[in-house]
Formats: sequence, C-alpha cells, structure tokens
Amino acid sequence: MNTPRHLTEEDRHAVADGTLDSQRATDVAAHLAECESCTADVARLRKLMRRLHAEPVTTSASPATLDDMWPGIRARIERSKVVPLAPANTASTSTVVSDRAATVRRRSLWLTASLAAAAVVFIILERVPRDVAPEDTAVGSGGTPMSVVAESSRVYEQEANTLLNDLELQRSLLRPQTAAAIDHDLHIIDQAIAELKDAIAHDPNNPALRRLLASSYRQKVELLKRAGLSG
Amino acid sequence: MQPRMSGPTEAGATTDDVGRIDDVVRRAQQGDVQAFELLYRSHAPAVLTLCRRMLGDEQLARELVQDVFVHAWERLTSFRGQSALATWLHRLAVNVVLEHLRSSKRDALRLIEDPDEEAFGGRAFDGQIDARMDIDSAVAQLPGGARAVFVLHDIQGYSHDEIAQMTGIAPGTARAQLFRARRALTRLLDL
Amino acid sequence: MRDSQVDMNISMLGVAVVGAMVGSISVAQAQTSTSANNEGPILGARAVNATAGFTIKNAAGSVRLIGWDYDSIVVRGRVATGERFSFVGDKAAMKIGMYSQDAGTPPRPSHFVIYLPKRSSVTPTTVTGDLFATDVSGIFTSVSGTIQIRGSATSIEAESINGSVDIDVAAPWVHARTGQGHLLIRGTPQDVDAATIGGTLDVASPAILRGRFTSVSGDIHYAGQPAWGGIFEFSNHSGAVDFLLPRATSARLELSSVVGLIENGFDRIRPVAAGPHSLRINLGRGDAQITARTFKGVIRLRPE
Repeated sequence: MNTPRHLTEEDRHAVADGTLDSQRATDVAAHLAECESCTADVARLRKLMRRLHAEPVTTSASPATLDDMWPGIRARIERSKVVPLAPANTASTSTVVSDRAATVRRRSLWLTASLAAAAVVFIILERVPRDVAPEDTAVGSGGTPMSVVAESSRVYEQEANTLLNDLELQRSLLRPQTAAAIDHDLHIIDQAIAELKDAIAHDPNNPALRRLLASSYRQKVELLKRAGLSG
Repeated sequence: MQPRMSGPTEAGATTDDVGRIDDVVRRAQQGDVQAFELLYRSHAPAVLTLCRRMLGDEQLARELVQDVFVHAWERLTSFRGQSALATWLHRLAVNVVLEHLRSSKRDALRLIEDPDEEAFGGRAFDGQIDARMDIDSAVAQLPGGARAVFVLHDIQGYSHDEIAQMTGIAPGTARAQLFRARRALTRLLDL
Repeated sequence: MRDSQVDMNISMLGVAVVGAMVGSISVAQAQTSTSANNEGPILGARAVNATAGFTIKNAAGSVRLIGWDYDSIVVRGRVATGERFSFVGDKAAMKIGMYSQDAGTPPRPSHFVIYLPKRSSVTPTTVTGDLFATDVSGIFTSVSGTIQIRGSATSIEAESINGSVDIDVAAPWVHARTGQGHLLIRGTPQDVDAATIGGTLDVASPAILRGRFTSVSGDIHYAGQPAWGGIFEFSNHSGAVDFLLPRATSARLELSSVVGLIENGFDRIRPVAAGPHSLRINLGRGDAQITARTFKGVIRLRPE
C-alpha cells in the first residue's frame, strides 16, 4: 500500500487562505480526510489567519508621538525651500567653504529665478480654467483666456530675460562648443514656444496647449539654469 | 541628501481630478505648511503603524515616518486625486520602507533574495514564545525581509505579483518568504 | 594656509589603515580585472564621516566614483602634466580634483578613481570629462561628458548640456536632464523626472511609480510593464512618444496630440474613446495611469 504524499506547502497555505483553486480542491479535500498530519497543520495555519483577522488593527498614535515627529519633518521641509549658505569656518575648510558658498549663491540665483519662472508657469495654468466649455468665452476673474495667457507670457519673458542676461554676462566664460550647444537648444525650445503660442491664439480654450506651453517654458528655464552652472 | 525643489509640476489636473482633491490638499500642494501639517496629523498614525509593522522597530519606524512625509511634501504636487490620499501615502510609505530595507546592511531585503538564509530560522527559533504575545509583537520578531512580505501580503493585502513588483523579487520567492513567515508566527504564537 | 598641491591631511596611522583597505581593494580589483596599476597611484586618502559631502571637479578626462562601506576616501588617478590636484577639506566636507584650470585654455585630461562612503553625497562636475558612479548619491553635472550611474543611491540628479546620461540604479528619486545627448533610464528607480531637448529618451524600468518624461524634439521610448499603481506623464512637442508594452499590461492610457497622429497597435481592445489625435484605452485592469501629449509628435502604442 502506498503512503499518501503529503500536501505541498503551497497547497496548505492556499487552503488556509481559502485561495485553493477548484481544480485542486477535490484532491486536497480527499487527502485531508485521510491525513491527520496535514489536517493538523492546515488547522494551525487557519488559526493564525483567524487570529490575524480577529485582532483589531490599531492605527492610533498618541498626540505626543505626532508632536515628537512633526518638528523634524517641518525643519526638513523648511530647509528644502532654501539653499543654505555655508557658515564661516576654520582655515582648513575656508577654500572649500568659500568656493561652495560661491557655487551655492550662484545656484541660489538660478534656483530663485527658476522658481520665479516656474511660478509664472503655474500662473498660466492656474489662472486659465481647465475645462472651459467651448462656448464659454468669459473666464473667471482673469479676463479672456488669451489675455491671461498673453499677460503670463509677458511675465515669463521678463523672468527669462533676466536669466538670459545673466547667461550673456557669463558667455565669455563658456567654451565655444558649450555656447553653441546652449544656443542650439534654446532655438529649438523657442521654436516650440512660438508654435504653441500661435496655436493658442487660434484655440485659446485648449488646456492641452497650455500644458504643453508650460512644459516648454519649464524646459527653457531649466536649460538656462544648467547653462549658468556650466560656466 | 535631499533633492532640490524643482518647482511646481504641471498643475494641469482635469476638472474631475480637481473635484477629488480637497481644499487642504490643494493648499498643501501650493506650499502651505500648516495645511500639510493637518494632512500629517490625519494620516501619520496609519503610516506609523505600517512602518512599525514592516520594520519591527519603533524608533526606526518614527524616523522613516519623517522620511515619508518629507517625500510626500516634495511629491505632493504630483498627486492628482485619482486615489485617496491615504492610499497614495500608504504606497509612498511602503516604498520608503522597502528602500530602507534594501540599503540597510543589517536587515536588508537581501534576506528575501536569499530565502535559505540562516538568519531566518535562527531568529524564528530564538523568538520568545509567549501565549499572550500579540500579532504585532510576533511579527516584530521576524527577519526583515520575511516581515516585509508578510505585512504587505497578509496585513496590507497586496498580491504576490504586486509584492514582487515592489520589492524586485520573483513572485515565487515572495510566496516562499510568506510561507516561512507564517510558519515562524505559528511557532512564536504557540498555535 | 595649506598647500593646495596634493594636500593630504592624514596621520601615519591613517596611512596604514587606508593602505590595508586599498590593499584589499586591489585584490578585489584584480578579481574584477581592474588592477590598481590601471587606476594610478594614490593621490589622496583620509578618514571621513560616513555622510560627508564631496565636491569634485575635473574638466577633462574622467571621474569614476565608487561607493564602499568604509568611512574613508581614497583617490587614485593620474593628473595631467602641469595640472594641480586639490585634496582639501575635513571629515565632513572635501573638495577634490582640478580647480585651478584656466578656463581660456583647453584642459588637459586627468583621470580619477575615487572610493568614498556609500552614504556620502557627491557633487562632481566635468566639462568634457566622463562621469561614472556606482553606489553613490549626488548631483552629477557635465557639459558634454557622459554621465553613467549604477548601483544603489538615495537620490540621483544628473544634468548634462549635451552629453549622454545613462542611469541604471535602485533609487527612490532620479532627476535627469540633457540637451541633445541620449538619456537612458533603467534599473529600479521609483520617482523619475527625465527630460531632453532634442536627444532621445529611453525608459526601460518596471519599478517606476511616478514618472515624468519630457522632450521638445527628441523621441521618447518607453518599453516594458508599467508598475502597478504607477503614474506616468509624457510630454513632447515635435518628437515621437513610443510605447512598447507587453500584451498583459495593466494600464489606463490617455494619449492626445494637437496635430500629431496617434497609432494604436492594440487593435483587439476597444478603446474608451478614439480619434485621429486622441486615444483613451484601458489595458487589463487599468492599474497604472499613463498620460501622453504632444503638439505634433506622433504617439505610437504597440504591443511587444
């Protein structure tokens, strides 16, 4: 007489889970009827699952615990908003610190300008309602969609010009190949911006166009920031 | 090292998305720290519980909760309301914990990659058996990789395929770790 | 003021300790066929904090960064004739590399291999030099050099004006930019923000949970199974956006172009809505969410 094979580990857990597929169910049930060892093991697993589901899931945390954790979170959030300047330090790190401070100040300038430009991008999207019905040409409190986009574009151009002016000041420090690559990329982006603005002029209520324009603005700001750091 | 703020992402949510993002979330997305604190106080208990279960260490769980909410602040602009914020935060927390486990030498997910590791059996048998022990205490005694898979599957309800995707291990390995975790728990809980 | 030329601030004990570690690395290098001789002599070494910060500059040549489990930094390499190598700082922060190169003259290439703590943060910058990094986190910048990053990291930021960027990491956060270079994202990053101006952007990672991929005129290619719950945004002006997805993909796709065409290869699945310039389609259970929009670039959706 052959000794019946015991259930596989996979089958035992599937029985405990209640996920055994119907094809195996009959064979497994027949085996469990004859095998005390497997039956006892499955019972243990089922007991575990019952206990797991029976115990209350506590998701509480005392106010003191939450209070304890919040200052650390807040401090990191606040730090991430501002690029720190290195403090005055000993002679052994003065070179490191002064150069890092210069780099950080430069990054700070670009970061500030790019955040300002990015804020302009945000304004473009926020001030023009997202689902203006085609027949609805009166938009919120910001005037017509075209006037809002035009105004925001003007603000963007002012900020971009600031970045471009700074780039011009650094142009003499750039290697010719670098300057050429930057100019090439700026040309590509400016072409895209021009096409999008032309398209918006014909279809001012198209949110997809505004999103694409915002994306192009962001690309330009980021390129100018990278260019400033490459000097 | 904290990633630099890259400025707001495209806020081009559709009207349906806007409807699903409540005012507090929107204010937090726009940089209102007080609004973000409200979200933190509302969701931190669940996040802490998840981290505590997956890590088995209260102090470490609190540290990672801070990481979770700092990441949430940095990525909140990408939340478009397609799921509940709790779900979004939950997923973020799982990722933060898994990343920690990957980078930690002591308790790495490499335990998942190597299912025959001795640490599993050793720790399971070394675990204190106590009839009054609750599930959380028992789970805390599991090795890190097995604990993570058990929490993700049996407590959080992810499937083996989902766990495999999140952890980068094969579904078969995830199943094997789950089974071993359950075996260890039956011994720890004296079932 | 310390002399900036090959400035080492280590004690004799430190030399002995570091020498022992370098010796063990030399053994490992021999096993990996990269001998210590190829990396050059030790230019600097010292004990540092596990979370120290390193600013590294080398205009031309190469910089290879390797994260290791020691709280020390070892720099091997070859400095170009006539150039001055800097190795200054303290346990918390150091400045390493070539800082006195005249911007008006073409830099002579120097090559460094730098071993540093895995938890440290690095800010390496090159102009034409190539950057290679394994198991380090930081901000990697080059003008035209290649940036290649591997291993595990806490966050990666890689930007090049027109060099290629190749990232194959396990990291929670990746930010990558290039102009005309090729940008390749692989491995298991979770939150990715990648963009080119005209270069091709290739994405092949099943682990990305939040992805934003942008180009102006370069093509974007996404291949593979999107992660469950992943949220992806693709934006392109005139370049194409190509999706090559397994038939078992589970994702909701919203594809739209202002004037470009949409090509749908999942012709056995009825779309939710379809037109020449837009397509909404649910694959499988729709677990991931993919949004793609172009101005005039074609959007292609094809099964593997």
